[in-house]
Amino acid sequence: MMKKINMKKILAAALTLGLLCGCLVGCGSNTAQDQEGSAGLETGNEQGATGEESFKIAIGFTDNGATMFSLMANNVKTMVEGMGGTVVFQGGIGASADATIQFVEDQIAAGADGIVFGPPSDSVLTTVTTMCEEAGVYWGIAFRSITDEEIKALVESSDYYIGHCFEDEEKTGYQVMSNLHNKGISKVAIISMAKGNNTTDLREQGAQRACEEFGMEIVAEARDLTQASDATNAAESFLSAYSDLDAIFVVGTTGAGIHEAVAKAIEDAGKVESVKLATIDFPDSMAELFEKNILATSSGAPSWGYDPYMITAAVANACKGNRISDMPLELEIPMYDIDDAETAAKWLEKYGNADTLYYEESVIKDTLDKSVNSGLDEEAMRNMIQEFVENTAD
Amino acid sequence: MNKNVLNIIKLISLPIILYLFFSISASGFGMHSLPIVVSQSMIPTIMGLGLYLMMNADLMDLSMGARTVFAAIIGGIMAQKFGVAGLVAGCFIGGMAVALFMALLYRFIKIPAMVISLGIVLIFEVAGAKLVGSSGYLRITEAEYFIGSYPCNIIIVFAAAVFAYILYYKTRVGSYITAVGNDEKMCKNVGINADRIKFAAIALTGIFGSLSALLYICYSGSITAGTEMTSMSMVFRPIMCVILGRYMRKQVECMPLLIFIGGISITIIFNGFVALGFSEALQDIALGMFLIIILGSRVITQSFSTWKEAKGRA
Repeated sequence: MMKKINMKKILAAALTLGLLCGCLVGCGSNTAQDQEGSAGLETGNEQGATGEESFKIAIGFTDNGATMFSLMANNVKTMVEGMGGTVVFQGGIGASADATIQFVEDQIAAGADGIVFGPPSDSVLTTVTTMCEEAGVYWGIAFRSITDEEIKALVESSDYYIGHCFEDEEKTGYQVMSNLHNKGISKVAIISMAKGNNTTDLREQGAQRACEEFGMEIVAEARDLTQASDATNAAESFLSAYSDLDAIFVVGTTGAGIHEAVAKAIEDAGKVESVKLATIDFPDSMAELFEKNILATSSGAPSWGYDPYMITAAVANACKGNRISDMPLELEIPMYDIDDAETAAKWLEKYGNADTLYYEESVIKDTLDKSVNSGLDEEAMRNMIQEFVENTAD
Repeated sequence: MNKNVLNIIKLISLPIILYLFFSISASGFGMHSLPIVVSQSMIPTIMGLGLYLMMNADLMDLSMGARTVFAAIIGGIMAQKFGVAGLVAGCFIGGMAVALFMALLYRFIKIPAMVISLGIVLIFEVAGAKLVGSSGYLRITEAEYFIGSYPCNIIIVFAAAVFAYILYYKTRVGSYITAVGNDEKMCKNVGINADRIKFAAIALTGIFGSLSALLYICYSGSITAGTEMTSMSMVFRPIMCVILGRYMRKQVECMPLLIFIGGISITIIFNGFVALGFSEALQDIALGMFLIIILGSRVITQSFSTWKEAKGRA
């Protein structure tokens, strides 16, 4: 009995000590990060030898090592540092409104001059607008449009809102279904996000529009799949329930390996010839899926990171005192279709490499920095975007 | 007719009725759906066999999904070096290690199992994500996932069910787990160490966790690391299987069979809803109503009988 009590006391003491050590280490690493941050700011100040003040931008997307994120991060960092600023990336915002607001609060408290993020829904934007107004922080939206007119009016009335970069999700959903129709496909099952997610809701609207126009039918749906096996499960259920199913359309997902899992279900069912896969955003195994003749069409931004890259450029210029435009920017990134293995391979060669630069450093300075290129305006940015898309798989 | 045979007929009537209902009402659902239904019910069944051990010991566990994913990740990593042998060994090592860790935590820290299971979810989701790396998922080759794919998965689950039957009904630890779950105080009074039995219950779930990890990674040929507690949703279907199985216990005392029948029934319902073109939201509503009706049917029937009697007397 005494031995038991002693064991409990020892365990309690050990756990308390461990917790204390963890807190101290955490504080120590925070201090180290502050020092690094200071060093970063100092670097910015050294670069601003002409008297320009440095600035700090916070990006609400993480660089977790995956190619698409690293590509975005490398390019944004090169661009912002080329303009004399520093950039921090913070992930974990996910699809939660609370996490988004927390991110904005944290970055304002950490001294950010500009913030770029992709809101999960319009509802967070009123709070973000107020917070940024009060703090005098410029901000912009990536990957999203504001659909609620009242919220849009409120946000656009703020001097600190720079604008948004977006893809026409409704048009993209329509385009993919149109591509499928051209291949003789009529019955489609979809895998998408939960209702209320602006991006996929718009894509589905576009898909529905195509259904009405072309006489196609969306026969079944599965939502919010996070595990690859959930996707296999859903695809098997679709194939079992609809023997005349023509395609499975992955409208949007945050899970990894979803496309490959759906492809496996199609292969296991022996329906590679009769059931195709379509997707928005380019999966990692795109070339392989095209070669297996499972993937019929894929539509996505020419490079995922280009959207936050362009809006960050606009926010960076605002932080330097040179707004691109007095009105909020609306920069649409046209989607790019890939329908065959060869184009997929070319695309992967270019954007499957995290070191690829969208623009060389000299071009950034001469073109994207309004303090050097005084003619930079919304029209010029749109022309740059168009040229970028046209040269995607060259 | 023999009473046991009659009871078994009553038992299998639920999935049969469901199958017939959806075959008639949904044109796409039929004989060709059966292999898929059976295959899809294997993972919830095997997870249910493990969950039952803890529920029988009056412990609540929400970590079975996270433990399955973690063990599958270990299996996937070892498969890349050692092939099929690595896959099987990795799933077993991962599953047992997490189960033992959880059992030790429960045994010595003495906080509710639900709290520990939430902690396990948080810790091992992140651990799994770190092991998997930046892509967020691991793929295995066709030669490796064959071992857990249909129809091999049915053999594995059958073997697990036989083992579970022996464990629940033919071993001392199985009897003690049931006794502790029914009346822990009485067990302590007769000299059964309830803490040790609960430790054993949690540790033994590792066997079923390992097998479910193997089936899970083989099902899609890959495993995705879950974060933000997404793996918790994996346990809901197995829990429903166990609850349904427990409800049907009055027909026959054979929980592995009952859990399987619960699994098949729920899988038929899900596939039937897909065939009927129900949206996800409607599927969830209909499944919830089904559970309430089935589990509440005894009370409803009794209340109706009482009402009829009272009316008759009046």
